[in-house]
Amino acid sequence: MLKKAFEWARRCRRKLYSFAFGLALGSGALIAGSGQSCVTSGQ
Amino acid sequence: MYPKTYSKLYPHWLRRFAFTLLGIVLLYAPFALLTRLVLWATRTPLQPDAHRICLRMPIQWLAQPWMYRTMIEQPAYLGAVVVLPVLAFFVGPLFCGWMCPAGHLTEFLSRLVPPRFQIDLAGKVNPVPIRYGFMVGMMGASLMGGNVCCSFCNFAHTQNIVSALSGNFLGISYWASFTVISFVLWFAVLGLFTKGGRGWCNLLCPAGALMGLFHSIGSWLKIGRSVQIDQSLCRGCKTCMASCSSWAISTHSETLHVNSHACNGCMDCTHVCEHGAIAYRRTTATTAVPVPAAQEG
Repeated sequence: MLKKAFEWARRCRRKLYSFAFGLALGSGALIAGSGQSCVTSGQ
Repeated sequence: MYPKTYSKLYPHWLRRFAFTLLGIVLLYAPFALLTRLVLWATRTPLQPDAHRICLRMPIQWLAQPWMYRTMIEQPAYLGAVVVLPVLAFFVGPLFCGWMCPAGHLTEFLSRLVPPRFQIDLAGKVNPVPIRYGFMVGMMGASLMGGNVCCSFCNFAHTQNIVSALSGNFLGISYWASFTVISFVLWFAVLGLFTKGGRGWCNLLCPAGALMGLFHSIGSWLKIGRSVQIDQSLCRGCKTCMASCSSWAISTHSETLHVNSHACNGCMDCTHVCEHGAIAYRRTTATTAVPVPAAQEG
C-alpha cells in the first residue's frame, strides 16, 4: 500500500509540487492580507 | 496581431461582452440589481455591492462551520458555494467564461496588447493543481487566523474601478501595500501581459477552482455539459489551443485534450475551429483524441 502511494507520488510529483506551491501562495496571501483593511466602494 | 481565423471570434466576443455588462449590472454597485433583489428578499440591511455577493469569503467559510449560520441567514453568500458550483456541475463554469466582470476586464484588454509583449504560460504551467492548492491554502489559512481580505481580491478591485467610473472614488483612493501587489499582479502581470489575459483566473481564483472541480465531476459522471473534441473531425491544427484563454487544451502523448478542471466554458475554441471539431455538449465520451502526426507543429 505504502509502496503504491510512493509510486503514485513519484509519478505525480510535478502536480504535487504545483499543488504545494499554490497551497503556500493561498495561505500566505490570506495571512499576509489579513492585517489590512477592506475597502470596497459601494453605491 | 492575431491569426486571421480569430476574426471569426468577433461576433462571439461581442456576445460575451454583452453578458459581461449584464454581470456588472447584476452584481456591481451602483447597479447591483441581483444583489439588491437578494438583500431585499431576505430583508438584510446591508449595502448592495460586490462585497455582499462575495465569491471568496464563503469558500473560506466552508472550513469554518461556525460561519454556516451566517451563510444561511444571508443567502447571497450561498451563490459562491451552492448556486455557481451546482450550475457548473450541470452546464460548466459559464459564469467564468461569460459573466465574470473581473476575468473579462483583463481578458478583453489583453487583446489590445501585442502578443510579443505577453508571457505565454499555456502548456508551460499546469494551472489546475496550483489553483486547487491556492483554494485549499486559502481555506486552511482561515483556521490559522488568516482572513479573506478584499485587498487581494480581483472581484473587489473591479468593483472599485466600476465605482470610480460612476463617480465614487473611495475604493481606488485607498491603496494598502497588499492591494498594490495584488492589483499589479492581477491587472498587469497575469492580465494584460499574459497571453489570454486570464492568468489570475487560471492560477489564483478559488471560485474558479471550486466551479472547475464541480464541472469536472459533472463531466466525469457524464451528466454535465462540457467542451468536447470530435475525433473524426479534428485535423490537429491546434487553433483551439492558441485561442484558449484558460489554458485548458493541451497535447499529451500525441492526443489533444480538453481539461475540464481548467475550462471556463467561454467557447472561443468551438467558434474558432474551422472544421467544427469542437462542440459544447453533454459529455458522452473521452475528449482525448490523437493528433495527426503530419499536421503537428
